[in-house]
Amino acid sequence: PTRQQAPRSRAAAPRNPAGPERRALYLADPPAARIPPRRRTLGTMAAAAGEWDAMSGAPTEVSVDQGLESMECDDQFAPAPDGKRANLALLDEDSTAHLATFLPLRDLLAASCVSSEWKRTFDSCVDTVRVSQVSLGQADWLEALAQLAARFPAVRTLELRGATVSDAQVGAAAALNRELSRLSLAQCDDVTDQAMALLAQGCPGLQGLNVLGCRDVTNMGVRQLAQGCPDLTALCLGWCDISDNALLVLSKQCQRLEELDVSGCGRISDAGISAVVTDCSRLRSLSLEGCREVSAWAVASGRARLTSLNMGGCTLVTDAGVGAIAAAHPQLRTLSLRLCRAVGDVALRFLSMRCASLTALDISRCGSVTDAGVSTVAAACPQLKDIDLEGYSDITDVSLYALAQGCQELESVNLWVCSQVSDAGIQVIAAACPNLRSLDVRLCSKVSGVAIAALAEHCPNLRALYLERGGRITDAAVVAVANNCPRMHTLDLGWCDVSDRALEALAAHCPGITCLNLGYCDAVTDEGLGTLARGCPDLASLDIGGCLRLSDASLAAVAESCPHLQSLDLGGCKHLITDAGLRAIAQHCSALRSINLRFCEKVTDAGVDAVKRACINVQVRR
Amino acid sequence: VSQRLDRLPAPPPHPLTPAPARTMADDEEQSPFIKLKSKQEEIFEVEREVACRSVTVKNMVEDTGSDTPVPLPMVDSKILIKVIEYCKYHQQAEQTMPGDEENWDKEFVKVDDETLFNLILAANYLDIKSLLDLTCKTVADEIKGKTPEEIRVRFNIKNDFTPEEEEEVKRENAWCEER
Repeated sequence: PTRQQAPRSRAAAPRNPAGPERRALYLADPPAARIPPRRRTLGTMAAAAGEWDAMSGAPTEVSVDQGLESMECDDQFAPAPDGKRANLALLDEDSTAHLATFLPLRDLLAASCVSSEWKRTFDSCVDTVRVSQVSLGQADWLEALAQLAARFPAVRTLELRGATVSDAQVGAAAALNRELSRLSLAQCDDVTDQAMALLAQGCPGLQGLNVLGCRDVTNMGVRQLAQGCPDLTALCLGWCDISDNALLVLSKQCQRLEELDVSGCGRISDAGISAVVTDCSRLRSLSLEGCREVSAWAVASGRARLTSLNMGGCTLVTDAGVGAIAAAHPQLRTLSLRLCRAVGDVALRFLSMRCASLTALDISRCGSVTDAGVSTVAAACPQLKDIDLEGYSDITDVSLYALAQGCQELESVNLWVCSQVSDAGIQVIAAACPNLRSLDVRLCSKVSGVAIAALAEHCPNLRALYLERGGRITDAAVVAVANNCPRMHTLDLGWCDVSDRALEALAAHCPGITCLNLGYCDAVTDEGLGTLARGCPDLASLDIGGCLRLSDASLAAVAESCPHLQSLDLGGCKHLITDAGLRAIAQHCSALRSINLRFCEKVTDAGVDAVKRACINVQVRR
Repeated sequence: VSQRLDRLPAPPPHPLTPAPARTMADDEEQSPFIKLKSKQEEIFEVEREVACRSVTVKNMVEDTGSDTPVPLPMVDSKILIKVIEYCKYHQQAEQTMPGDEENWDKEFVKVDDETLFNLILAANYLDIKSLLDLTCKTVADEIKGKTPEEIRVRFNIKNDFTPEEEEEVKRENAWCEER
């Protein structure tokens, strides 16, 4: 895809806009015929005119007209006569900071490469830095962090993703940047309680911390953190080794908490949660996914008024419990009750009575949810944008009719395994919800290409479509999707009846595709995949397992055109994939994180080693 | 804080300007025109509502009344004229049907770089948020998506990095991930 280039031609400045007829009055003194000199010395941010030119040493009188004349030159690429006008120096700090808010990080960094003056200017506008093992390559963590901290003095958010950051390095990072307000160490396995202690010492003003997956962080670490950083507003302790004690300390020390995530901490129980919900009155977002010992009553007590609650996997939650939650938190917008087996239609009725502001609801794989329950929610929650109904073979098109009538702002619908849903329901949703961005109808065997084509026509904003093992999805449907939905980024066509024709359409019209599943689409050939790879260079995840006609030529094409590939599934490509293909991948796709080579009989250790050498952190499945 | 003397009759029109047409006759006891004085000490008379789109001017007028010219020593006459043009258009566009503002804005910012940067400074100083956003976004669009060399060409900037410095900057940039 071509980047959007900003238009380069500028209309010439109008001649003499300051005509006399625009001015109402002159004061006693006539207007100055001599406009102050305009040359500016290099390297200063001075805004006022009147500076002596460092080079020539004398002020030059430039009249308004003369200045305009030199602007009319249409040749945008000729440097200024003296080659030293760095216009951005005109702006003061305030204005430059405001300008920088319109630039994403990539452009801020490009701007900082332009000249040393621009570097100084824009480096002080960067406020977020993300570093991972992959991007660092062979460089030393600490040295790199020190250089980045020195270069970007205004950084307040730092994200370090990677397996090998040690406690000492975290402490050093904290010491480098005492003003840090948000730090993410997600999935940095080597981080332990000591890092928490160092953070508490080094960054007392810390507001946000994410230590998801740092299994060695325990209650003691959280205690030290809480005591040192009382201003914490956002904390993620997912999958850490903590229990209720940590939450009790937090509820006493960090009463400004607004967001708390303790997913996967199985030892957390009602005692800890109710302490937090009672004492942290500003709490708005709580994630308890997988906390099997927490019941709804702990959440329903207390002063906090939650807007976002995730209790997926909390099997102790019952219908009555959901009623209590709904009564205590009527402003709920996001709610997940995934896998809460004791929850069913009754809970949905409670929600519909109290929580009219719901925008996202996940009731996948709960107890007995039927059309009745879904219809009550659909009627009561008009702002619903995201609904997850995965796993209910009792849900029929009736639910979809209700959703189409009540929730026209729907953006994401998940009907995985809702095998009774058919074309009629999908078509009704498509017609009623033009903002639809994501639809999952995997294993809905009654949904065919006809409905998908209709969906494509009504919903041009579609970005993700999951059709694996649907009804008969053929090329015609995929071509319709490609033609109408240019923003598509995720497409699951596993086991569908698609051939090269569909791939060509995708390559031509959907250049933004990042995630594509063509598993077991055995009509696909090397030619089609080559075209696709060339048309979609942003591909990050590709599944071509079981596509028996694909050979090394496809891998070569993908490797050459898609350097950002992170995940590749070749499972079941029995005969035609060999080491040569793997070597091509190893050569170009250094960001690869996972590759599946099961049943690839022609692949040997040599090829696998080549991949492992070239791609740090890659996981190979054989 | 200027005193609103609700019961006094309206002041006579200024001798050197024609009597202004009263469009908001029911609530304007004060003069509906405000004088702005540029850096070059030129005076511009502007309708009150138009001038008060600048929060700076609005505050100054509330403090000192609308008789003395509001001094704006940081703003060139040339730039002030453009700013007044912007404020006038948007004031008038707000009263009538919302229409072509986007296109007008696009034409408005088709000026040379120096004027554009001065407009940013003026909009910042005068605290006119919509003009500041418009001008900053225009400059940002000129930077977005370009490589450093393309930016240099566009803004006529000389590359004063040594090759080693440039390498170092690129290396450090490579460490910073997008998302």
